[in-house]
Amino acid sequence: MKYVLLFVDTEQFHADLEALTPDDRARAFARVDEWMAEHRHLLRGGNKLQDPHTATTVRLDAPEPIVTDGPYVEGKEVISGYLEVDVADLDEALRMVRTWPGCPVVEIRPLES
Amino acid sequence: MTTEPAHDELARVVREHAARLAAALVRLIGDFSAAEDLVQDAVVAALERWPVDGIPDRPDAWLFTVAQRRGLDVLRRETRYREKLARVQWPVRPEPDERLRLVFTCCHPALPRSAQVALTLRVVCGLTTAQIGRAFLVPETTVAQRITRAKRKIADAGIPYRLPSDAELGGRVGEVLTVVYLMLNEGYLSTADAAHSQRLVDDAAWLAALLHELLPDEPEVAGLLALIRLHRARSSGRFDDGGGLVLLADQDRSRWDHPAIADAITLLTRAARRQRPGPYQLQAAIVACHAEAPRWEDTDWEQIVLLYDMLLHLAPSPVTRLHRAVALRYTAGPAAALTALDELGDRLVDYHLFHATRAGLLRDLGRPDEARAADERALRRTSNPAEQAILHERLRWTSADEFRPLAWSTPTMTYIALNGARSWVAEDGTGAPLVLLHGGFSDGREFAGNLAGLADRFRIVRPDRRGHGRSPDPAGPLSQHVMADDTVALLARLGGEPVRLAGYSDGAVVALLTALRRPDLVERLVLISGVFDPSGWLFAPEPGDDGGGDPLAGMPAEVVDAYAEVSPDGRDHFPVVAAKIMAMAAEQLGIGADDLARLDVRTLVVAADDDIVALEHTVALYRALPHSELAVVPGTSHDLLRDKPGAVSAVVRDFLTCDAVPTSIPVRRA
Repeated sequence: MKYVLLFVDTEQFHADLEALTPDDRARAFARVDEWMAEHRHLLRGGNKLQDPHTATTVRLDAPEPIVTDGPYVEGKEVISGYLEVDVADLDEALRMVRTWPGCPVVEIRPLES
Repeated sequence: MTTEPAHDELARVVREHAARLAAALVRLIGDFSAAEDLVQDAVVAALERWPVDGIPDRPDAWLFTVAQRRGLDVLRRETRYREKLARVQWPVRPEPDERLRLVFTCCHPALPRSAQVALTLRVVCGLTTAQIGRAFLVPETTVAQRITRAKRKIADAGIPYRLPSDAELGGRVGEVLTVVYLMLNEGYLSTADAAHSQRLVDDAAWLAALLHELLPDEPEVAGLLALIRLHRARSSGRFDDGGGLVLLADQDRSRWDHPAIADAITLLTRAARRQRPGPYQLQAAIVACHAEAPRWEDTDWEQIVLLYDMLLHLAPSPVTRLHRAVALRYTAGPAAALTALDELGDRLVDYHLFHATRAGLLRDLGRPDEARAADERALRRTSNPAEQAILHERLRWTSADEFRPLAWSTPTMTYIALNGARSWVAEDGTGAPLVLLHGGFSDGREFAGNLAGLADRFRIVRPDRRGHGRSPDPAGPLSQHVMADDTVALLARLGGEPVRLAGYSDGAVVALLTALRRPDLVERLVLISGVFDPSGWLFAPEPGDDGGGDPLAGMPAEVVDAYAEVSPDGRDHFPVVAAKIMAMAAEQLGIGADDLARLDVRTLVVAADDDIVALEHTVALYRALPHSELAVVPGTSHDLLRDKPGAVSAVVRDFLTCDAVPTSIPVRRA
């Protein structure tokens, strides 16, 4: 069964990451790389997103499309990346996500087909 | 559902077989939602037919046939289910853990809690949505909606139908136990009617037993099962014949199911041996403390407070802290309990038991107006008719104006643990504490009509010494030294400031020992007709010696009656405790002249002019104490508190309320 893992950053997480020494930051990234390597056989694609300040949102529920700067919800939590995974069931997805060493929130969503 | 007697059996059979059927069907046709629909149809049919036709010989086969028949009709949308279903024969042989898989699927953490509960009750226990709705006071449509959404999520999000791996098992078992615990709670502290709540408790018990059978090595599963069984074993005492809720303190404990209690405690003890304590084991242990106490006053409150401390350490919760405060009332007194409770105010302001508990404590502390307001707040926050009835009753008694003065003067009376002994303490009045220690063979009631009148100036604290009055007689000999330790514990508990302490007769001996032991705790001391050495008694009581072998010869009948009236040990125990008191009074006290000379506490020595304490002994005591004053009450005997209550009270009041004055012609005080 296919799921998308939506990775969610918080302001706190971002600040903590910025505050790390270059060495510690490199180690943090290395842990993410390890996790990716460990689960490579289950990954079907995905990417890290650029920072939310690069986001543009278009609202089509108005008479005219409205284009605004920023992500679609203003908030302290923003989506920072996604991965598509192919696993047996929700429990396997949960097992993967439990050991995720990056951002503090992950949403698991099954794909339609 | 029609006839109630058949209902229990019906419920049991439905529960048992619905779960088996659901487990088998889910596995066979591989679709949770479709299988669950079929089982529900079968359950509904059974609930309609069985009360009329009787329970079939093979209920499982009956349910299966109905499910299969309906399934073949209904499942047109999915030919593959139809084909599978058509091939299935009953009985299938479900693996032993099939039902467990089902439970774990229903209690999957990806489902909201309310859906976990509803789904478990429906699929595993075979309740209909209507029954679930009634049990939780939720509209049936809401329950149906929750179940539908949950089933959709199970299918669409890929929630598996299988046992969690060992690594996940711990957390997942916890999830299931939470659901079972919620069922117990809702059933036990029910907001719905009694029959439905009892059924919910039965379902919880059945589920917990199933879990325990399948996971015998999980101590928390055993703990929860023991907890449920302990509650059920006592359920017959919880309601009176009219259906009214009976508080634990007032329950008839002979109506409890004692063999079931013993079994549950055995189960709990076995679980505890695994040395993996958890919240359910600890809660069961707390309930076991209550269940094991032969009487309310035998409750081991200190142990209960300790268990609550452990529970709070593992699972902090404001409600647990509330319950701890209730227990604290019996170990540390109502004032300390109220302080602990008030710390929870901002978190529990909407919880009716918070206000009801506060009301009880405020009433104990002589603050009836605040108590009444708290009861009213509690009443506004509960929908449970049984609890409402108790609160109404309480309000009725305290609202009538004629009861007002009584409420003010009615002392707080409670058991607290002093130095490990269950001790009855009565309190009334406000102001600085004044502790009164009664004489031998007597109890705190002795001060009614005399020194208790000082309640207009002092907070009068009257403990019944061990073995006296309402305080039970512990095994082994009595000792004034131990009673002094009890009194030290009492003084230490009264707020930290040194306390005024007065004792009469044997109570004066204990008061003197207390002051010698902890002068820092005694603000001033009153010794009425007491001794510092047994030689001071003109006729020394001797154990068992009455010249005729009867230790009670010459004991006034009213003394025995007064004892029998309140003693938890009963009238027959009086000769036993009387012999122990006499033996105690003859013991050497070990108080030396230098001990007395060192006592840096202002002391009033009082005696009758015709006392059974030698006047010379009284004078010697007065002389030996460095900061002493002396009063010999004229025209009185050793029973001076009753001979001249006014005169004694006046002397004691003056001493307790006034500072020592500089005298004009000091001799000894020079």
